[in-house]
Amino acid sequence: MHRRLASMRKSLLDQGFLDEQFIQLEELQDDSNPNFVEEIAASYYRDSARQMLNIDQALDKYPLDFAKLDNLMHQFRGSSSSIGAKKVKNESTQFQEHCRTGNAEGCRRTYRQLKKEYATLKKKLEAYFQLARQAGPLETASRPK
Amino acid sequence: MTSAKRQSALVVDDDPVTRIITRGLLNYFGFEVSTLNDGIEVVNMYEAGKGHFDLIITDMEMPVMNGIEATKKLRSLGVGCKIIGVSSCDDETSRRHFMEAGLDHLFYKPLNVTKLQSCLENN
Repeated sequence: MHRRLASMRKSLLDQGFLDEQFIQLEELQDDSNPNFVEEIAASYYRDSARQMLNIDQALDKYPLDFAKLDNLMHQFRGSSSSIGAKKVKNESTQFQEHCRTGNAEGCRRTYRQLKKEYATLKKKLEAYFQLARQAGPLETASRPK
Repeated sequence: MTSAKRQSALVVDDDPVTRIITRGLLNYFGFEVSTLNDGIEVVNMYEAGKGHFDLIITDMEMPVMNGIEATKKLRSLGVGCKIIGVSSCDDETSRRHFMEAGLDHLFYKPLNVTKLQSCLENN
């Protein structure tokens, strides 16, 4: 089961859904905090849902307030990069570029793609954490002194 | 057998995901961790005489009082502990202002485990 988990993790990394940040977070898990990364992911999806609602509302306005959109996406990008959500982070960066050039269509197009990547990652992480729970914790590594 | 007293750390960030991650990182390094959501909260805490941390990690951009102002204020109150700033902002001027406010170190977000460990080990 741990081999399957490792394989799934490698696949998520190879396909660019996650980056090294996610691996670093997993290395912080131990017996006292076995679901650390799942807890972070849950918090991310809770908080980012709120952030995306704010972005949706800002995109409905006319004319677009690019400074506000840039700021909202900056926060969203920060959260996404914190958990290693690589594709989501990349789309966020692209969105911010469009904000800076005042490209409304670019913003909307990128945001549609961002939402797809966000939803895809959510499904993949749900499957990953379900398998992780079934597999149980690995042996604990020693903490730094 | 008595156990060594754990060092205390305060994480100040308006992003709940970052607070959880940074708390987890610091727990991993043996710190007892508290968290706050904004610079104004940490300043209020210290002004009320209730702030006694060995380490503060603060975000730069926060809604009410940003990390730059909070750090300046803390240093003016005589807060001498290590203060580490974190920011995803690329603007060099802002980052310079943040350092000049009184930080000991400034890292880009997301926090890197190895870099933080190295920073904490080199007092």
